[in-house]
Amino acid sequence: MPAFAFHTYKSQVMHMKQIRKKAFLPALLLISLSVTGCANNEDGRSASDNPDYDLTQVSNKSEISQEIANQAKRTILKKQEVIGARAVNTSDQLLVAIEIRQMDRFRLKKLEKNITSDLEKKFKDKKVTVSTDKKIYLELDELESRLQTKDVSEQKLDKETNRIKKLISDEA
Amino acid sequence: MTSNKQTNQEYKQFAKQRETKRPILKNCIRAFLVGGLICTFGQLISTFYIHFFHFTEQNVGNPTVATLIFFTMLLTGFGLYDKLAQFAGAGSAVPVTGFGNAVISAAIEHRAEGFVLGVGGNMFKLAGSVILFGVFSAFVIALIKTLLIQWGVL
Repeated sequence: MPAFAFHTYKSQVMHMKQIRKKAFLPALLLISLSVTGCANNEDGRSASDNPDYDLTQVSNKSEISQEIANQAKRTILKKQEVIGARAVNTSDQLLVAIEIRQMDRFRLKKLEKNITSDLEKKFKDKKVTVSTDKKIYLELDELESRLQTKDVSEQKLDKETNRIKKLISDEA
Repeated sequence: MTSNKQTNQEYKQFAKQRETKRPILKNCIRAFLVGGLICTFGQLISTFYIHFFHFTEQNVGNPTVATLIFFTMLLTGFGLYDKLAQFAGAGSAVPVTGFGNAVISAAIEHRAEGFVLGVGGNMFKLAGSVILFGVFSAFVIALIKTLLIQWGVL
C-alpha cells in the first residue's frame, strides 16, 4: 500500500523512493487492464465492422445450423443498449448472452425481460433463455468458437447447452 | 446546579478553542480513494474468479469476500492494516476488510488469555455488533419486501 506512506517521510531521499513506489499501483492496474483487453477471437467469427458493438457469426458447418442464433444476435444488436451478443441454438433451445452498455446497466433486469419476450415472440418454436451474466457470455463465446472450428455432435451440443443453462439458474 | 452548568459550558467553549481542527474534507477524500481502491481490488478478484473458475456474477460474491478477508488477515497480522487505517480512516473500515480486521485484531490481542476464554470469547467483541445489526436489519428488510410482494406492490 504505497498510497498511505507519503506523510511519514523523513528526508528528501525517502520522498523520492516513495514517488517511485507510488507509480507502482497505477502501473499494475494498467498492465492488468491491457492484458484483459486484447483477448480477441481469431477464428473468423467476427462479423461487424462497427467498433460500437460485437457481433459474431457462426458458419453452418456444424451439425445443427446456427442460423437461428445468428439471426437472434443480429436482432438484439439493433438495440442501442446492447453492445455485444453471443448465442447458441440447439434443435429446441436458444441460449443468448448479452453485454449491456455500462450506463444502461441500471435497467439490467428490465432490459433482460424485454429482450427475452422479444425473442420469444420471434422464435416461437424454441425455448429462449437470455442472460446478462459475464460468465455465461464467456462460456457461450467458447462454445461458439468450438462450433466454428471443430465438429461438435448434436449430443455434445445438447450437453454443453444444458450445462450452461444450469449455470444461469445457479444461485449459491 | 446552575453554576455547575455554566462552568460546563465554559469548559466546552475553552476546549473547542484549544482543540486541533479535524480536516474533514481531507479525511473524506482519503477515505473515498482508499475505499475505492479496496473495492477495485475486490472487483479484480471477482473478475479473476469469473474468468478462471466456475463462478457466475450471481455467486462470485462469496469467494471474493473470503479472499478479501484472507488478505486482511495477512495485512493485520503483519501490522500493515493499522497503518492503512490510520491514513484512510473510514475508507478502510467500511469495506468488508474492516470487518475482517475487527475480528482478527481482537483474536490476536487476546491470544495470551487462552483459546476458549481469550480468543473465543473476545473475537466477536466488536464484530459481534456488526453481525447482530446486519442480521437484524436484513430480517426487517426481508419482512418489508415479503409484505410488499404479498400485497402486490412490487
